[in-house]
Amino acid sequence: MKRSFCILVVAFILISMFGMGVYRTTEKSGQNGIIVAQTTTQPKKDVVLTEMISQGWTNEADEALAKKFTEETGIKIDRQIVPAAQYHDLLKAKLNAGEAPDIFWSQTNPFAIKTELDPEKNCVDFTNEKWVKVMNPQRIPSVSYKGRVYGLMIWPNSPEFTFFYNRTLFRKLGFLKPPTTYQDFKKICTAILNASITPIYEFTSQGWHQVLPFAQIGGRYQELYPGLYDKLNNNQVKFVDIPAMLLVLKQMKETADLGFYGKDFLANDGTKAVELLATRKVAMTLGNPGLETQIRQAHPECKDEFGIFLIPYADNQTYPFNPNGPARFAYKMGKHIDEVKQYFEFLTRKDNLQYKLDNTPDWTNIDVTVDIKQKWLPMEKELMRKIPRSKYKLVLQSGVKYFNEQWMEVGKDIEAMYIGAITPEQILKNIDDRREKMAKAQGDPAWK
Amino acid sequence: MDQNKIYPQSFVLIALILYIVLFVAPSFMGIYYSFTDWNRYTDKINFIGIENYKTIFTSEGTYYNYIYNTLKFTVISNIVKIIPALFLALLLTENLKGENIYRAILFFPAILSYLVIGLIFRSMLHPTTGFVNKTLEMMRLGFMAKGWLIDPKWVWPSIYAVDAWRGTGYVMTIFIAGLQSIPKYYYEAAEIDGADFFQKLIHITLPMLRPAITINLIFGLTYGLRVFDIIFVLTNGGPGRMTEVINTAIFREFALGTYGVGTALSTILFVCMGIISIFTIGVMNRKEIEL
Repeated sequence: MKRSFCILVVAFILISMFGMGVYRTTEKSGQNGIIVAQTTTQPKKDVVLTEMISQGWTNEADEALAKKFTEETGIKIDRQIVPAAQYHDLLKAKLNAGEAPDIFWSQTNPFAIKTELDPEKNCVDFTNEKWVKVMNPQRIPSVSYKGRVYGLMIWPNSPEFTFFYNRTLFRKLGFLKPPTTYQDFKKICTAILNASITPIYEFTSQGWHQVLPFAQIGGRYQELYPGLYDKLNNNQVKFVDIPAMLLVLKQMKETADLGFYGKDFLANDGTKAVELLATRKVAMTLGNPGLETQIRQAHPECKDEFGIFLIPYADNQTYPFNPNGPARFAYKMGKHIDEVKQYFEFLTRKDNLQYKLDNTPDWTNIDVTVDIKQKWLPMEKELMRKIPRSKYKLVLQSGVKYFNEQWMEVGKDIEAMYIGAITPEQILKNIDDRREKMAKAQGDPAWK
Repeated sequence: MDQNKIYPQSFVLIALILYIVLFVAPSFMGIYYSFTDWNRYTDKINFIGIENYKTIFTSEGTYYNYIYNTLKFTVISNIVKIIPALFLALLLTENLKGENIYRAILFFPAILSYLVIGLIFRSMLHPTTGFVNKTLEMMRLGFMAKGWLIDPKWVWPSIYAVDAWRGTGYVMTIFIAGLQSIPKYYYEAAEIDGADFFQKLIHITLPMLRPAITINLIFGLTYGLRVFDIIFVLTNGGPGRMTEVINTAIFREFALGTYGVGTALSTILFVCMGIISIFTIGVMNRKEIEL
């Protein structure tokens, strides 16, 4: 009996060690946010580039491109995919500890690049690389600091994070047009709920999605309070002083309290959006137009029409313009900088960009200067045609200092508001307090 | 024999130097940094007195909640592990058929990584698609289905349950080792005197098991006060900030780049752990009986 006990213990230890080892080498996101481990093949050359990515920023196309790169060069890419809720903290902790991977992704923002990444200290300077010109010039400031380019952003230019909705369902319930005011939005949500369908697929467990309704309508705040971003950046006004921000948070809370998000939205992680939209279990979600392509591919039986509309909190009708997005950076203290440069050059090749677009169902375009075949959807063109250029406004996280850095913290506060633990007023105060802390730590003259 | 003459005191030097360099010095440096404005944004470090502690203790209850949560977790997680572990240990030292298999099964969760446990239980405890609620619904016990990790009422009990699932086997193993060292003739003598199970438990087992209880308590207290992994992987401090503890707060401060506040929190934790551990060892040693 003792022998069998020992064998069982040893077997379990080996299985456990193997499992952990695989997790450290290669991971791939699966449904429900579970990390699925994958083994990788032996490298042809003795170079392995480690790449750390937040779940949701990457897909199988990137995996395939990494493999293609290995086939061409022998350099292996070890992709480490981290759940979004932990990604930012983990990356910053790794950078602070001097243990960052060769390549890491980060949400970009010209205001935050210093505080988030400290590029002069941590990132490889790519200013003179040929591939820099592949990025849309409007995006280059987002990956630059003091005139030097540090990152590679391959990202679409769609109307990002608007409400993606089931147009057929709306029509069936008597709503021929999407809402443009909060009251209309509430009416539609109530009718959908009465039809026993969850109006909105919201998910908070990833920590970031719940902040979008508040931040994506920064243009509306600017519209109501001209010059607001400048005043916030010069510490002449605080978040807590802006009634429209308070109103939006209250409207978000009301949306949750009225059951428009369903009852388990705090446990949702966003991975069910396509299935639930295709099967009419939910009517809309804050997402991207590319969801339609994903629905058509995964659920060919779904014949419903879909559309997009602007977030109507505070009666917003501004278009969320955002030149920022997730980008790849390279660790300055990494041992394989030349190989990283080689990899980035490979990724920006026309054939590889086209491959990325063709194999990323939720993307309809890539914002690059290279002439690839874009796939804009009619719904995108329709919305962009409808909204006058004067209504294209910079989103809050790209226009205001010290906000993007605390995105996940705001997410936690909003979650706390949904469960009634804190008030909307406290959220705004917390944002101001964290901004002050960061500004003072950096010696920002506006906060002295 | 003079005990001091067995080995020269210089033998301890290498270990002592390593211990001082790797453990004691960083601890004291951490305490020093808690009185500075050390942060990620500047290379200058200025002495700012007790400002970081002021931030912690005047933050409208935020940090108090983290400290309270840590202490609450320490107490409850130990209770829900130690008591069942003791009874399991008693059961599994009774020469049951296949008891080694039972011991192995109960011990196995202790060697699983927290990450794996977190991912498995997050999936199992999902209110809509999770195994637990689905099973309850299948058994027509749907009224018992809860939002285990998202309902403020159930999130802490769920964490305690998962933590107990992982840790009970480990505690039980220490108890089994302790139980096996108790001479059988004490029990035989007690049985001759007509003692029942509870009398033997109270008058022989528990007093003789005091060293094992002390070890489990010290391990349990230090684990509870330093808790991070299980919270991080199960709830990440949520919903909202309901399950934040000192170490998740330290992690967030470091992530935000405010190292000074992080080290101040770490110092508070260090002091709490020191006081509680010394107190516990003192109490247990005073009552320890001579074998």
